[in-house]
Amino acid sequence: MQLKHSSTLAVAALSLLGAGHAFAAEWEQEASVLYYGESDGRVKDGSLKYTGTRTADNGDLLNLNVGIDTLTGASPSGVTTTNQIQTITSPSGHSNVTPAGELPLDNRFKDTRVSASVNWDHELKPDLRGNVGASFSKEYDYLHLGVNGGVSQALNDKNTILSAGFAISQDAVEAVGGTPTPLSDSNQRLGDEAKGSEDKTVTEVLLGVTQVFNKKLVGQFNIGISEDSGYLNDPYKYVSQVSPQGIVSTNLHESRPDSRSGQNLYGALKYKATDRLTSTSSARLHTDDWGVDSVTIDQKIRVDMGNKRSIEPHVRYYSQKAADFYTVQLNEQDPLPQYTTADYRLSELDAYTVGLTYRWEDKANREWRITGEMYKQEPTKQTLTAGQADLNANPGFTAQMISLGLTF
Amino acid sequence: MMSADGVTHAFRFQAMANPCEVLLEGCTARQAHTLFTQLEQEVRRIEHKYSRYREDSTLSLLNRSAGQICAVDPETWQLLKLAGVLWQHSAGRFDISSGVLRKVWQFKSAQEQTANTAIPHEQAIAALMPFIGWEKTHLDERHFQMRAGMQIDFGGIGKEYAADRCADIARAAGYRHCLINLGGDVVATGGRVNGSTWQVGIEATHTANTANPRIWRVLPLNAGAIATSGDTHRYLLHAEKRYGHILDARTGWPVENAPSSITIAAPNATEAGMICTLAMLHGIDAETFLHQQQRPYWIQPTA
Repeated sequence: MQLKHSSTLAVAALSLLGAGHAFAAEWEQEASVLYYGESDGRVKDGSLKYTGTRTADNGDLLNLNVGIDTLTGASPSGVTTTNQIQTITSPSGHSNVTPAGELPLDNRFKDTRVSASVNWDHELKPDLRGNVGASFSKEYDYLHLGVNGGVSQALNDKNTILSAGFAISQDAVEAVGGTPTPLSDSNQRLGDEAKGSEDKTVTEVLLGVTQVFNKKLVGQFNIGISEDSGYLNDPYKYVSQVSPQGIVSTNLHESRPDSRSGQNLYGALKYKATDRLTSTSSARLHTDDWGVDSVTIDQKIRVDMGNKRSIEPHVRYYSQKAADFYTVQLNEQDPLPQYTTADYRLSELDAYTVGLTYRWEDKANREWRITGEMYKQEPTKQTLTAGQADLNANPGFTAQMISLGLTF
Repeated sequence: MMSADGVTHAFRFQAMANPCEVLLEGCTARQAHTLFTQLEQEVRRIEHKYSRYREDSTLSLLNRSAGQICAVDPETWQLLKLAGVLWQHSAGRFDISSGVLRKVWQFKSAQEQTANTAIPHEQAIAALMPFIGWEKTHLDERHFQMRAGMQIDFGGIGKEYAADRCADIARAAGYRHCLINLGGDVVATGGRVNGSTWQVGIEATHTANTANPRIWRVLPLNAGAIATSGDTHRYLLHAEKRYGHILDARTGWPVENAPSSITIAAPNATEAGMICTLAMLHGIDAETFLHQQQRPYWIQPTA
């Protein structure tokens, strides 16, 4: 399973860094620890992160991020759910025997990822800044290397900032036991067809504008396009072929197209309503040629409670359409499609997040932050065969996240 | 790194003269092992305490002390109280003191069957009847007393109680994806990790090959219990007539025309088992009785 890499965030963050800073050579650093856990023994993630930004006398900004996270647990493999009997009830006085049911194999995954990124932002000439950066992450079966860069032009007394950025990453997937051939039978030993490693290239371009409307209102608007190409499958995901009676005949490795083009629009407004109340609203629309169109709406309200303490409730709604080639399972009598996946992350779903951040300052003037969030994913229910009545192959899940941060 | 949609940890053991199994999802192998150990210990504790075959069991002590007032512990009091409820609810058909009838009825499994087993003489049964009857006992929270010569056993209660106790332990430890099957008494603390239900097969009663039973129905079980009673595996053939092993405590004779098996779904195994047992005792009227209980039921008719 791959963790989601998004250089969009890196690029977006950089377009904001164009906004002026107080010039003093000093580090602003935050260390944080995070725990993320999905319900029902699914994915659990613990991570430690460090981020530091140094502002030099000449206004240069150097930003460093280092992180390590550890994943454990299980994630749905795409294999469908069937009415295979797990146990038998029989009149007392008789020995019952469970048929050799096919119990799922014990292959809980464990993975540790280390990641690092560095960005440097420098004034090229008055009101024009340039930035360059690099990112790296490594986990047992995945390697990511990326570079990014951009420029930002301040206009109209720095009240308007136009920015343009790009990011290119080259990732390598080295699945355990060889990277499987799409649509091959999961039970067959991976032969020569399975390659040891597959590559993936991701290119992103972002154009943005940040506008200060007045003392209370700042807005940001971005347009982004992304192109993925290469091996875009998840080597650990399967699609089941099922008989009309609801019995799995074969589990095939998934098959996704080898390219994906996406476009997205992002808009955000930060509004300081009163001295104590700041609202941040954002919306994002995404569309791509896989058919995974999505919308995200996010709202935070920070309430300053005085004495260096504040609370910030947070809600987010996310909704996406399924990929064109998503299916919960395949009918064994139908011809095989060229592309197919049962990965729940490409299904039609709605997701809801509610969270709360509390910030406070300790006696040594260090700012602390604690964030808790609840996440609920609700996929659209898919009908299976009559033999799988009442079963749900993609039931969704809930997750909790708690994170503690310290700025120093 | 591999992912799977949940691992099913399975544990099988033999207890209470039945095969038992526990299936558990959503935890590590180590956690599963810990829980399995606890559950097996609990089943063995109950078996030991209420076994007819152990001299040192609480039950044997009560049976040896028939005629005297005996002190009972809270657990035993609860089980005896339940037995009283069953007796009352079945108008005396079910009676935990009817075990003495085993002295005269010799039911056999299909493999042991002979063409013409003797059936007990009317007088032999009549001679035992004075030692049968819950009305001849006295129970309060601390004490139990039955008439000298009486015997009780917790057949039809103990196994179901043990299954529910196991489910309680699993639930208390936070396991929401656990299925317990004690010889056909099945309890689940919740569904499977992937969101699907457990699939419980009901064995076809006319399975010729007991090592590889045929399945009559498959029932989904999410949370709650399923129990099955049947009259197919122990019976007696006499003069071409088949006598099932379920005895009516009021007459000392087997119930006639009982369904070959009854399966009930209920919130807990104790209730499911009670309904099953009582329904069987209603013989030909089993379905009418089941209908009144308002619990899902499945009847396999006599072939």
